Amino acid sequence: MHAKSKFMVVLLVLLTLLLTAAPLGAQDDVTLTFWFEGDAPATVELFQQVADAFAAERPGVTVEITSYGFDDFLRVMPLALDGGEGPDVAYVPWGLQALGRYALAGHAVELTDLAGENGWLDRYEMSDIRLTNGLTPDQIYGIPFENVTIGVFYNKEIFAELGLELPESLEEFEAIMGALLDVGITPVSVGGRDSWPLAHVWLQLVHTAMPIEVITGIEENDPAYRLDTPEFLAATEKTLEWAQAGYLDPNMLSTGFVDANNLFINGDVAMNIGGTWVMNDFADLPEFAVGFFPTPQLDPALPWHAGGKNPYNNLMINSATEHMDLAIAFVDYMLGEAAQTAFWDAGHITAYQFDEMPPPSTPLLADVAAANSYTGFGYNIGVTCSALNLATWRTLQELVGGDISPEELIATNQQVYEEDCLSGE
Amino acid sequence: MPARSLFSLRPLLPPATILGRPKEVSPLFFIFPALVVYTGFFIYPLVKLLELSLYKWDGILARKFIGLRHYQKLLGDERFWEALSHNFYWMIAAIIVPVLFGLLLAILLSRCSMYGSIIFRTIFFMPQVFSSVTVALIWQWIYNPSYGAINVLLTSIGLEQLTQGWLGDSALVLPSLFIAWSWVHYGFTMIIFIAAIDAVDEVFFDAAKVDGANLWQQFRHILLPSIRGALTTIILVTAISSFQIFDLVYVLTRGGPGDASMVVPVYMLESAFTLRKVGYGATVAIAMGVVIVGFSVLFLVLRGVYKDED
Repeated sequence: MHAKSKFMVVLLVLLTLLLTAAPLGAQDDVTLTFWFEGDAPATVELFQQVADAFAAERPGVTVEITSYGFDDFLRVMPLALDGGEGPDVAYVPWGLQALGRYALAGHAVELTDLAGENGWLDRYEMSDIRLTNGLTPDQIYGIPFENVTIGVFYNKEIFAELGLELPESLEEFEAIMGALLDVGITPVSVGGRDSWPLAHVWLQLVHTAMPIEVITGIEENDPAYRLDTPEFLAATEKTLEWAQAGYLDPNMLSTGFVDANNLFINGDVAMNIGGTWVMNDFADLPEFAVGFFPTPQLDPALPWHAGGKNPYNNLMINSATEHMDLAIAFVDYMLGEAAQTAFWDAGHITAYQFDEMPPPSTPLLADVAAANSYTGFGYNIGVTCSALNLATWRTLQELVGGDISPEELIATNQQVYEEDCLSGE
Repeated sequence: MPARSLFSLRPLLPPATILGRPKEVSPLFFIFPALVVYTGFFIYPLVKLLELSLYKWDGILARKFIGLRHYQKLLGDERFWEALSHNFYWMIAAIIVPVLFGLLLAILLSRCSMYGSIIFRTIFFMPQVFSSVTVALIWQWIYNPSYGAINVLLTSIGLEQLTQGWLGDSALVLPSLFIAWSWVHYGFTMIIFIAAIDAVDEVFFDAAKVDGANLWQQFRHILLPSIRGALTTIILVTAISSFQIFDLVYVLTRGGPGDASMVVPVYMLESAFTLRKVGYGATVAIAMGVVIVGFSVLFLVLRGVYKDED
């Protein structure tokens, strides 16, 4: 054999070894990808901690997390799934805007059997799961493991100074707002420029004006329910009345969500009607103690329920994952007691049913838990179809801006409900 | 002499070389790479956009062919027409305000002997280099009803009754957004005008002065005709960009309150991605493209460009 040929043979052998050695060495290392909706730094840090704890129990496993804001997630995720890509596991928004649609398109692994086998249904409520899965009520494609609820955050210092007691009726609540206004304090900050925080005020009143069945019926796009009923009209008129009375920040349409929260945190307003996803900020940032109470009933004849809880995002497994067993193990870990305790300790309202509830990590979380214990959870109509959400946000701005009447608002909502939600769009 | 056809095989280069290149090289050979890029990144997406507009699609489930129904719907879509009217309002204001302001500044900085004019040029142009999100955040602060610069200033000089919720008032929101946009755009118009004015030979002005022309006459009969090309470009670019206005509106108001500041690009995004009506969003995009092209052609015709070329 010529020297040149020998050299070529050696080179080929070396190359073969090099090319095969790399995969052999790496075959034990697996990277599981996890995307979630939620970009608050504290949330990202929490997910990272839980993911790291899962990986620490499994040598060679790394969990790579990626966080997205709500709008970004809804744009990026379908594109990734449609292209056969996307994460192995994802924590995705509820209903037809995300999970239900991914399931219908075949991108989400059905978890019905796994939920039974792994005991998930022993720890999580099927009614929540059914609601968040959208169009697939009899099959499970995602498990929601935390709840959010909406109510009234208040400045305990201002309330104490003015001798204000927590309200148990809407009249008492309005009397408190009137008393605050009398001493020159804006009662409620609302980030109406971002539109959806204003919708939360309206939703509180809607929620307390009608039975829960109506709310869940509309969320499930049941044509038997309507949005132009006297109850919806009453809630809409009350929203307008509060705006015109100055109970809601008169600058709300030019104040964004963050600015409205800052007005409350800085002590410039006495209350903020919002969801528990801001609870950690309200517990940590103000120099005064913050409390929480549920919005009193617009219809006092109805049972009082915390105004608008909804099961939050859902854990789903991408049907295109190449690490199915690991993905299932990760979901199981996330739904387990260790991870859920971490979420609870970080101020999230976990849906996990503990044998013995751990103590609340902050006084504010204790307030929220207490409020929910004496009122019971209700559901939030804001979880319904996107077109109705957008129409509500838009028309509410027009309502408090004096451009349309309450009657026009509910008529528009009903029209959108029929044209977009009931048609399955 | 008749215009040379692009697809003619007439030689454009010197013939035959010692390397044996073809004696005749078609212009197609030279434009081929650009044509490939243009086809791949413009023609193909445009065709796909047209195709999408004929389907009902949520971006993830199966598409359904519905023909021209989206176009039919668009014609009766009041929200689209309202958004388009806002774009037209924006365009008309944009052709007047930042263009005139830019021209005025350019004349001051170019024609008037001013100490430190380079520094002023830099300062005036500065907003143009900021990212649009930065600009939006600056103006979000300026317009803040509680601690924003405008309301604080008005309060401090005793004009508290004039303070407003600038972005929350349906009558004020569009002008407020337009002012923020103009703050960026006048720098662009100014710099183009300065380049055009600097290119005008000083001899013309000297001759006019000798003939006794006043400042207005110099502007009207020398400067304006000399910068006609730049003015055309600026008006066209300004008009087109006013139809494409998106970032500022999206960050500051998302088209609200209600639809008071809704513009077509934001409406397109809302339709295609928030409401997941991808086909309808594509239809809105095509309608916007047709309006822009239509306006551009109309403007150029009115401007006499085609006539001049003939």
